[in-house]
Amino acid sequence: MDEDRENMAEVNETSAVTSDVQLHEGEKVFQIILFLTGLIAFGLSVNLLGEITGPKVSSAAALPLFVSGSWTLLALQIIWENRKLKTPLSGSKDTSKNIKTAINYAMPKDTLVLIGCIIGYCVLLYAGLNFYIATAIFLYGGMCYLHQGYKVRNAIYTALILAFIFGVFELLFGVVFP
Amino acid sequence: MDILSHMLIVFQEPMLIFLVAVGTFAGIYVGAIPGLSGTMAVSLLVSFTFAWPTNEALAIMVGIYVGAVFGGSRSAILLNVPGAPAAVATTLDGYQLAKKGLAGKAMGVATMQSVIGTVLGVIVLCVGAPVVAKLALGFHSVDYLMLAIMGLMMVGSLGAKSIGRGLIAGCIGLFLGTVGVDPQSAVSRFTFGIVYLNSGIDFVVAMIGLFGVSEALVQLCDMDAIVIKQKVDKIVPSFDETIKHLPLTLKSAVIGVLVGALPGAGGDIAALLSYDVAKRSTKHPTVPFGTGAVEGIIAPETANNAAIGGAFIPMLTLGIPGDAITAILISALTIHGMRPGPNMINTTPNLFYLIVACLAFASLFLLIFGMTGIKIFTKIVEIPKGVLMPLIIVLSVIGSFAIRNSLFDIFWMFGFGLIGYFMKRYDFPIAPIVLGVILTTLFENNYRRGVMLEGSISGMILSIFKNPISIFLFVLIIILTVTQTETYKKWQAKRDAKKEAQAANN
Repeated sequence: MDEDRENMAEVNETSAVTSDVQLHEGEKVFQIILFLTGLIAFGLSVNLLGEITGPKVSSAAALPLFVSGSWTLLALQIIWENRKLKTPLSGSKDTSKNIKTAINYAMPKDTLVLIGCIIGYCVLLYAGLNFYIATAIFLYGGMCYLHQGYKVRNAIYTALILAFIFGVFELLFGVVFP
Repeated sequence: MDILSHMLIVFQEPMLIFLVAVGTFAGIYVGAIPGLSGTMAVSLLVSFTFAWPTNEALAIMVGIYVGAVFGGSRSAILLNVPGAPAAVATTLDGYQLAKKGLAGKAMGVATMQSVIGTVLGVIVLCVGAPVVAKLALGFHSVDYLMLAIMGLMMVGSLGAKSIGRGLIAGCIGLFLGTVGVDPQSAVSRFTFGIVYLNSGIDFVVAMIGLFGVSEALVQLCDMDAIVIKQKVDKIVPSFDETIKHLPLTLKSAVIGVLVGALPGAGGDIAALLSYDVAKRSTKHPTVPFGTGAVEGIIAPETANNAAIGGAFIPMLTLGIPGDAITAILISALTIHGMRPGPNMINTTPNLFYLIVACLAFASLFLLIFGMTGIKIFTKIVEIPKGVLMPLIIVLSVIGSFAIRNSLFDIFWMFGFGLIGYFMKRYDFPIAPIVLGVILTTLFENNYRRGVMLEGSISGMILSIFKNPISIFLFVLIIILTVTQTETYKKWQAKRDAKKEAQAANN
């Protein structure tokens, strides 16, 4: 986690130096991804339109075609408008460092670890493990990583949250758990 | 007399008053904790209360809504971290007052102004909504289509870095809203043979993911934010001071209600706008704005709560949400078999006036809870993020599973959470996605009806010029589009610079 914070501090320093920075690290790539996703959605809509036999202008494909087309064009417009704007990585020639910094911005280590925990939580639930056990593992694991150095306190928090879930959701609201 | 009897229903059921109180109390705390928002809380509640009677479910949600909008001011004043987007403007002067040891005074003023703002918003809702509903009965399909477009454009223009970003998010929402079997032609759209997708994407699942999980993930990007401890003392503002600032209060309330009534624009924009107006129009503030001026709390806190009443107007009369929370409330009402729209006030007046009464009670509870428990409060807002974020994830899991008891809903919810996370990380707004998903039916049905009635798209477009309401809406869309273009913004900047230069010369 410390290494991650150092990296973030480095990124922040770079941002501070380039005061005319207008976009985040990797934002231009994200805009391209958004454009490509729009293009795929548009392709799927055109395909859907081809499958329809009745009047096409008021068909089930009309709205998807219109919105996916607009989405693609708007993404393209944003890419065009932002082409000259600077990111903290503008001017840096070290491609591998740039990629690393952009990934670090998009997915800082803490976020990445929590996403990993979420995936693990989903797997446990999908595997049919009892909801309370899976939740306890997720909560305690997540807390011990994010709130380091407080193992006993985290265990108490976990127990309190589980008691709260049982009391409020199961008893009061009658919610069914996975 | 009828109105009064509808509103008095709340007194016949003390449980409703109790639920409004619980909702307001919980809302204040939810709104105050950075990372938790009213939108998130209400979207989670939709899934837990869908088996409840409609009145009870609405009572607690309305309470949370009012409490959360106000609650954001607490952490804004104490920690310089707005607990909710509507409290962003409050940090500017609220925290400065806290730094001077006047946190108690700041919180007292915020409470009083929020109560006044809510009450004024409720009055406008009570008077204005029936008028708008009557007007809406004369709407044609093309008018609804234009309203849906306008709603998306407002979100795009007011809530984002640029209109394009907001519109892309709106388009993504509209596209996702079309997934599933088309109810009119039974054509399967973008389901890829997955049976789960036939019924479409559940927008409550989308909302929980977009607002809950994404916010938790974004909060983790800033784990080092320092929590500052504060001393809290005198809180109740004097009567004289409240009266002295009444003109500013009224002005801010009007801004709040008007902005709140615009589809897609909520308390956050209302607060910022009224702060800006107050800064420009207050000739002699107590101290300069930004250094702890009481006026800098009065304006945003009145406006963001007045926006609540405003946001209910388009929701209850046109079926178009005024902000993100009313968007969720529409889905809650739909789950309970209600359909907000122009006929709602006539067919179910009890429901309309129940909401009005709940809002009125919520403002009363706001006054009680807002002025008490401040010391405990400061402890709660200091909960470490490392504990809070996993808790939000677990609540999101429970909330999304509770809708249909499907594990797939949990996976979809996380998928939406990731989409929301990346969009937030790169300054794309996520509220238009939800608005888009919700507006899909209104948008698509009225477009298809319009084309079928007029025979073609050109016929539908020409039909706009046959009806004064349609012409008015069309002109509004044109104005909205033009004022958001770069050319207009450059022209406006040039004009302002010229004016300033002239003033300097004089």
